[in-house]
Amino acid sequence: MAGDAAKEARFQEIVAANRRRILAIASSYVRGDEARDLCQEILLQMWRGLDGFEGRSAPSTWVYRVALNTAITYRRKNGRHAEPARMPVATPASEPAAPSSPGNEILILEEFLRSLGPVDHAVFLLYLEDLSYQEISEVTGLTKSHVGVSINRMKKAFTQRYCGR
Amino acid sequence: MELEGYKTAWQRRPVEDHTLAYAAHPSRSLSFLRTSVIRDLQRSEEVSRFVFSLLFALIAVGASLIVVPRGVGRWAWWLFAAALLTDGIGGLVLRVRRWRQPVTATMVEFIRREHSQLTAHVRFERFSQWLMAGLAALALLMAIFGPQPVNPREYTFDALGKMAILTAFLAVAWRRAKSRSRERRRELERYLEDLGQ
Repeated sequence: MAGDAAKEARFQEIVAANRRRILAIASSYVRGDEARDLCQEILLQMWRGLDGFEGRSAPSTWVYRVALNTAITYRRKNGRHAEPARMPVATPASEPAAPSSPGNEILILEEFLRSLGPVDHAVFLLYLEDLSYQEISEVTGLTKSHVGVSINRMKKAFTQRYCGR
Repeated sequence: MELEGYKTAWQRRPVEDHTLAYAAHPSRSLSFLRTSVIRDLQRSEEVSRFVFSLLFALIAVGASLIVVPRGVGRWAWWLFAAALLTDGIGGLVLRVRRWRQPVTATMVEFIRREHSQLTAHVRFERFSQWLMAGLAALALLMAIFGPQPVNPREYTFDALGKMAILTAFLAVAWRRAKSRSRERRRELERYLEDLGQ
């Protein structure tokens, strides 16, 4: 019973410290009620994996791992039912969008993220969350050079599509 | 605007959406977790398959004892029950194996592991399909070449029983052929390609 209480306390502490990260990942992969379901699924997986977390990596790295793996699985399993991205404005490649408000920038980033495959989505999301290549490498298991190449490819695609030439 | 501007806006955006914040509240999370293990099991395809297999195996054995005359027809029903049980238990074992592995590995390890588990799943489904097909063939041979009841009433029941069991075998084999495991495995292979693995 004391062990359970200690686990609960540790869990609460990790969730409280990483709440924003969990919410950010869930809301970037799916929307509305589905995002809430995904959030709870992430918490369930964190709870189940907590006994195996020995603190060899930072708690935030561990949370990112669990959250992204869960989000990828969730999107794979619920792909057919996922709500489509909210399209901010018609943005053909020849007419890059001109964001006039911070909300529009977010919508454009969300649109771009959803146009990526789940793996690229995860890597670009970590880049947007301002993780270093080393940290992204620890979360994903990719080499630093692979992370660099992937991010540069996606940055180029984003710039071409939304930032004009 | 440059990408860095977008990145800054992303980091400053509010994510504390009301419904999401409720979901990720630490104390509410704990009360949710206490019930979600059961919910997780209820959603499991393998558990529902196991329950279905167990119930239908019991029905097959029970019905054969009451309706089907003693002999080859009854044996065919029992073979069907055995095949269903093998299928249900095998699926459940795969589920338990997966249940024990939390999603705490790196993305590369996690996707690789999911892929190997789905490969095992696909192999098992193939085995299950072959088992069904083999036992269906055996039941068919037994129905054709086995001794037939002499009593006309028993003959009718026996013939109906044999037709029913063959239909049941075909229905289960068809259901297995509709499985999405192969599609899922291909999808994971695409993820691994994206990861350069």
